[in-house]
This record gives sequence, C-alpha cells and structure tokens, in this order.
Amino acid sequence: MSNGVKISKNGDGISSVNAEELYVDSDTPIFKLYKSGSGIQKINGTLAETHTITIPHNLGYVPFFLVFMDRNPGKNRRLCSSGESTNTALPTDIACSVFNVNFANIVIDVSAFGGTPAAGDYGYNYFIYYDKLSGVQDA
Amino acid sequence: MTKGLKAIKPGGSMSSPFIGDYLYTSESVSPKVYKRIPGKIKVSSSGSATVFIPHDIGYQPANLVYINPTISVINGPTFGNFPMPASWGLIDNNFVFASSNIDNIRLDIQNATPNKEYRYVCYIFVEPAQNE
Repeated sequence: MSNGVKISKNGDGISSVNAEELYVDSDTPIFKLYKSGSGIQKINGTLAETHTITIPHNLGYVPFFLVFMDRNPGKNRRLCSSGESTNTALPTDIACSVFNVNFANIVIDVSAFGGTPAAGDYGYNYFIYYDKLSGVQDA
Repeated sequence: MTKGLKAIKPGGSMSSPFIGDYLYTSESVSPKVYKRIPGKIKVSSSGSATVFIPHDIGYQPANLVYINPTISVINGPTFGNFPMPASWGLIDNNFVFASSNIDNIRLDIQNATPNKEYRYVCYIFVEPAQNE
C-alpha cells in the first residue's frame, strides 16, 4: 500500500501487528450499516405452524445482511441460516431461514418443521449493510 | 480508554455508553473484508456439485457464503479438513455444505436438481477462524 490509513492499539506498531489486530486498515473495507432493527414473532405453539417475516430495505439491490432469531422464546438466538430439518431441530424448536432476498425485502421463513414449537414471543434482530451481494442476483 | 478515535452519525453522541452506537470506535476491532468472491456452481447430471473458492490468505479465514435463488446464509468459520465438519444450508430443499481450509472455501451440493446452476458470493474476512 503506498497511501492509506492504519490504526492500531496503543502500544502496537502499525507494521508489526497482523491485519486482524488493526482497528482500521484502509487496505480492507469494513461493512457499512444501512439499517438495523428488531422485532417479535409470536408463535402459537401449534403443530407445524409457519410464519413469514418481511423486512423491507428498498435499496434497489441485494444487500449484505445478517438476521438473528431466538430458537426458543427469549433465548438461544442464532444466525438465521438457510434452513433446518427435523434431523437437527428439537421438536420444540422453531427454525428461521432466509427464504428470499430481493431488491426491496428480506423475507424470513419461520417454521416448526412438522413439530410443535414452544409457544411464546420469539425475538429477532437484523442488520442490513450498504455492501452489495454482487454475484447473487435477485431471486 | 484514554486515547483513541470515535466517529458518530450526525446528531449522535460522543458519550454513548453503547459501543454499537458509534459508526466507528477504536475501542473495538471491526471485521474487515479480505475478498468478496462471486461465482457460479452447476449441479452435475448426477445431482451433485463441488466448487473450490481459493482465497490465498494463508490461513483459515472467517467466511460467509450466500447462494441464490433461495439465498442461503452458510455461516463460517468452519474448522478442520474438507469436507466435514461444515456449516450447511438449504437451496431448493437440498443441502449445501460450506467448509474451509488454508487454501480454499469449498461448497458441496448434494441430491440437487441435475444441471441447475446457482450463483453465490463468498465473503472472506481478514479475521482468522478460531481454533486455527
């Protein structure tokens, strides 16, 4: 790098620490948050119930995002991965999966996957970044 | 902290007790993107597919993979040797596994629709996977 900015901890040398120990390194971008928020999905506790959560962003492109949701009411929050089967979900768990992301919305599929989930309020948090998911087109 | 940098949004407070309120603060190391690698993975006539995504970072990095059309968030880091243990997700109700080693991120699709093609984007972070 001929020009740029690096910031390290007090006492650390800019050139003597590994890149991951730097607070800022203009060689590598950091994510820029566009929008974050939280919500509650009410689960009734009925057999195989499903729900859909739509999180609007209206960025006009598919953004980088992360969503975390309770696996049980009020606890065990985890990354919403793409899916979970009854092979790995406990009968009382709820599974959250990223069903679809397009230029306007992030759609989360919440499913009991054939089981009977614990009734209650399941919290979720989301983080949407300005950074594009280039290479992944609108579904 | 006696010395450091903080950046806030217009109208924000420089004295917020919550680090997450800052645009940037030298109290916390931010994840840094080493590479963002888009690509395609095509399912074979037998219904499986494997793709290696080289990263050349020199160690097993933290990573995330998103796959279209049902975008799967396959969260890393994963540890050990290919192909397992691996994080997994679903596309079209088929399994996608992501794993990593010092040279590559590897994607595996099993029992999928033959000849179907998916797009992906792989984020490689500067931060190493724990248990490296």
